[in-house]
Amino acid sequence: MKTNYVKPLSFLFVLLIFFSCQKEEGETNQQNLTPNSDITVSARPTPSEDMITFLSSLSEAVIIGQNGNKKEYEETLIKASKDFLDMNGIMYNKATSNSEIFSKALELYSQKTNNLKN
Amino acid sequence: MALIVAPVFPNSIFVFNNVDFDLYYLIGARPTDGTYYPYLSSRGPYTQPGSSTPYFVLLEGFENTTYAHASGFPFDSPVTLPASAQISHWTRTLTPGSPAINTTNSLAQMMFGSTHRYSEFKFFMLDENDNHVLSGNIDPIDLDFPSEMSGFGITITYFPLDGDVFILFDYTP
Repeated sequence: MKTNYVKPLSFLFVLLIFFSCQKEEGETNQQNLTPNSDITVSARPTPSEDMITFLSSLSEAVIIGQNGNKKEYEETLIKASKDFLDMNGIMYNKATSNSEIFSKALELYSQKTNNLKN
Repeated sequence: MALIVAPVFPNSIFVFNNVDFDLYYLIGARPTDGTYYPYLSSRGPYTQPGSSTPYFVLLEGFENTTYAHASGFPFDSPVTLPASAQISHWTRTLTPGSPAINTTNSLAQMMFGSTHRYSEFKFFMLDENDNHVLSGNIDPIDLDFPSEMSGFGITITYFPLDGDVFILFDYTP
């Protein structure tokens, strides 16, 4: 009697694919627990006009800096910071260092973002 | 004519976490001259997920902190809150491949206070369920020019200014 191996082999093949898919799915699920791409970043709080202006100037400063113009980069950064502080009525001494002014501006920006979120 | 060489190591490090995720980071330091060794890593009380070595300190969402370069490197603690950003120890790695030796802040200050400069900022972020959001490394950090990296709706910008270093984590516009 001639044995027909085709059907059992096909069945085994189908089973193999099925379990293989199951394993992949399980692995994917496990990866889904912590992958970066599956984390939803909460919506950015809509910034106010002064914050947008400040941020745009910072981006502009970064581009200037990346193009190698250090002096202009620093000037843009400080001008953006002073404008932002002025717009919000935050006082600073003329003798205040650039670093302190920028720090104050970033702190204010951070506070305002947090306030918008709440 | 005298040649004056200004030191490049920063006076202070300002870290701003302007997004709603917990930011964990470590600060690396290398000698003011020469190679990366002896290499110093700040050590905090928090571990990276899947690791057991507590190198990281914590800044929660919308928190910021400053490490002042008052008496040389390394810094022992932030000059502004939160306390979670306090560096408990430093580890020193003498050569490539050598084990990291745990060192108290005072000993690190005594041994490396004026010989080491800030050179690296390694970080990761977790959401409220402790899921990993993103991680990265700004290295070397002693750049004279700004740098920026973006991912998953978050932009990390490194601003050098007057010898100080500002690192801002913010939502991508």
